[in-house]
Amino acid sequence: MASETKTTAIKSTQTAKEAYKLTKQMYQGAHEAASEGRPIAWCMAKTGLEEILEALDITTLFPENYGGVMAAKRVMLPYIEDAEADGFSAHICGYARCGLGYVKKIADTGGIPSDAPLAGMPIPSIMLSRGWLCDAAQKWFQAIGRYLDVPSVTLDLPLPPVDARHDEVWPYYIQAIVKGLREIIPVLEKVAGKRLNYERLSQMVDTSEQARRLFWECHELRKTVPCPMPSADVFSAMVPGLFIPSKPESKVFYEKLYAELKERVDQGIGAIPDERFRLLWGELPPWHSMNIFDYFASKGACFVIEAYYYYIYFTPSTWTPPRGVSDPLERIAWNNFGHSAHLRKRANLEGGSQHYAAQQYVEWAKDYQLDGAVFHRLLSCRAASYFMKYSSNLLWDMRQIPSITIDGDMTDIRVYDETKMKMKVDAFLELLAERKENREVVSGANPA
Amino acid sequence: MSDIKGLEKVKEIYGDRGKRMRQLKEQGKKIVGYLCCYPPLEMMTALDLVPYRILGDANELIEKSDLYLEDIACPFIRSSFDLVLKGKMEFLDVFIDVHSCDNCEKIYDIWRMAYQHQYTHFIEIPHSLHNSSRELFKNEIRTYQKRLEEIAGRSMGHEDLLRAIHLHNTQRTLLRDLYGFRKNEPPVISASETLQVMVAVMSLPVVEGNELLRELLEEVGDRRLDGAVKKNTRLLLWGGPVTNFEVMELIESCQADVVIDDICTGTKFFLEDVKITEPELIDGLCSRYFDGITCPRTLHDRLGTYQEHQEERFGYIKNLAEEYKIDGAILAVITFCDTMEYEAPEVQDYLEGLGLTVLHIEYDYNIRAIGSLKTRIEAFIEMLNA
Repeated sequence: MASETKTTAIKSTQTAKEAYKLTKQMYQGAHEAASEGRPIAWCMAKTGLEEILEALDITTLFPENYGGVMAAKRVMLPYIEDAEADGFSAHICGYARCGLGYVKKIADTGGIPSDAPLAGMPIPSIMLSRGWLCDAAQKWFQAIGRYLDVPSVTLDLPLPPVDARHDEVWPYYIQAIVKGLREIIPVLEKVAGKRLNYERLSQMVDTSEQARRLFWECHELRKTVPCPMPSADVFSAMVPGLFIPSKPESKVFYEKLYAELKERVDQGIGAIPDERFRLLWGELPPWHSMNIFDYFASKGACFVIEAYYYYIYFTPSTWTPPRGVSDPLERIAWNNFGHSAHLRKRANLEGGSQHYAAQQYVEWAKDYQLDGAVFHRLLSCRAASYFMKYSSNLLWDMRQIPSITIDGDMTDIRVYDETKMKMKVDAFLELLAERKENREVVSGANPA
Repeated sequence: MSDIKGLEKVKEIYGDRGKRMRQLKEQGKKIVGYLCCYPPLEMMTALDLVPYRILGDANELIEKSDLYLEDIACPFIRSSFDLVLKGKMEFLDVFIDVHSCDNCEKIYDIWRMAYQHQYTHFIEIPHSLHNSSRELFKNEIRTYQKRLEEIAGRSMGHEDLLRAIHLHNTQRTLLRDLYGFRKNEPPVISASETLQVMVAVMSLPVVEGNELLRELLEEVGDRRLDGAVKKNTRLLLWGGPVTNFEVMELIESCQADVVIDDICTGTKFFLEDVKITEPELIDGLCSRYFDGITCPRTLHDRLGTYQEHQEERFGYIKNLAEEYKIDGAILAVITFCDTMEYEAPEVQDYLEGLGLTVLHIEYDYNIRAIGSLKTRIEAFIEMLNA
């Protein structure tokens, strides 16, 4: 049953408030496709297949996103518990347990559960997982086979390590990704019942690049003091860029967001009235308790940047294909490989962190004038949480930025303790206030 | 090395895994520590580098690695890293890591920065079995070869690699022969002894490991059972890396024999040979390491039915079950091993579909924590025997 109490965060920008409409449209589109017998894919975020699916008119839903929707509506626990009762460990990804519980209910009852938010995810024609970022991204769809006999295919997006000889190995990585796309296209064409139109695909890639560039420009504006947009808004505003980047409405959304933020910056308006602390949010949010961000805001703390995965995805300087690359598949390969590969390469340079996940945090500390960092340790996500202690240490060693860790999960509210979190946050913000005061005294800004 | 032989020697090596490595290092050999089953050992041997499998120790408390790692990381990896940080693998010149799973992949930067081995290298392994992924893996193995050549200070000739492939294939044959003694009823060599053999072999250069295995085959082959050993329930053990024989002893103490395994420190290490592919030996090598290791980290696309998919993925377990005449199976998953945690319910479905009874447990790797499993295992064995 959905929660009666308010669990969402207050959005600062008008545009971010409108993002949920796009989410609803995604699900409405899928229900229309199902009723008309058109193909539907379930896809992991960041597989690199978004534009190809769009160009083939395969309606796509993202079960990771749906896990977040379930948690935001506070209906996730019966699904999570069903997955665990059927043999899955309570330690596997919180999104996956929502998704596995969901398909189990479909298998048990023969239909979409009546309490499923947004009328549920219609049964797909194919499932597409990604061979990078986390083990859950591959194993989850494979395990769905227990309940739904639907084809499942994995696309690899291999990445070199930080200490690779990048110039030597990148060409064969890109070649493998392009070839991987070429191998998967006939499978998707069969599902779509049509051939891929490469000219149309090129246009889709154009739109995605434009939309993501706009979102990146929005993030650039967040470097301003006071920050015009907090993380709470970004976690809504990332929806079009992550899930429907090649749809025209995605570009329109970011144009509008950019205009709104630019106006704020020009007028010196911050996302929160009195910005005292500029913070980094480490990793996925607790979708079940997004009002955590309101608590920070009430204390003058603004999250000016968040988890490394989302931001670098949209950074043109790290994903723009090299000059002369025009083949849409090669552009897709660069757009998905470039961000992480460049980050790794930078981490390996003199002065770099030597650590691919921590590198971005170390860079942001300076660029975003951070006062501190909050790491949300996701107890069911090793991919996100593995580096937190190390990143926290590096942030201190290299930039003298203090941090705290809050235990929780993106969907599983059972491991989240709000009271404990608030106590920790209060103590942390007091520490930051003290540091700020001492710095001001030392610099002479506050002679008192 | 001392004059002791066979199982006695196994126990000595098992008790001090680094002893032989230290001696070899003193003789000027370079020791290569590697994680997981995926780095091709043949290339190390071909260049006269000595492979040493990095393993954790479930008897030792994890302390130092927790300064760097979250405690929701795989406890086997945390333990392995912990031993390195405590200076217990100080003889390693080289650290080789692979992208087999999240835990192995994500430790690499932290490990190489926290403990400065002289040389480090990482091999990316794609997850799908597509041709594009296979080609990438081949390129990665070429890069790995170049790196090993730099470390060894010489290039690898065709004959060097061919000789090394033969040596490692011989070791695989010897290990299969040794495992063959467990087909007997009752098995001639116990699982706790076999695990110590596996750990010992992973702590020796391949030539010495083969010599030890030949001694063992003779010794174990001479064992006289004559009905003196009680007939126990025959089990298959499925899971990740089991490094301490106490795990096997715990099961044996419940009147059961683990007669066959599907674990990282067992059959996954040796079931498949490297095929000799001329003129490019690397093709056979890549095929063995890319396709031949049956780890849940590898993804088989599902384009047919789920049942066909299960056969493709787990058919080899059925073969083992039939060959070793098992009565049931224990799926023992180490906490926070995601790939196994997702796979276990599917393996359980499959084995139950074959009419086998299955116990699925999750444990915290540390020996101190496994005692609590005894009641569950005893109840399981009682159920099997009822």
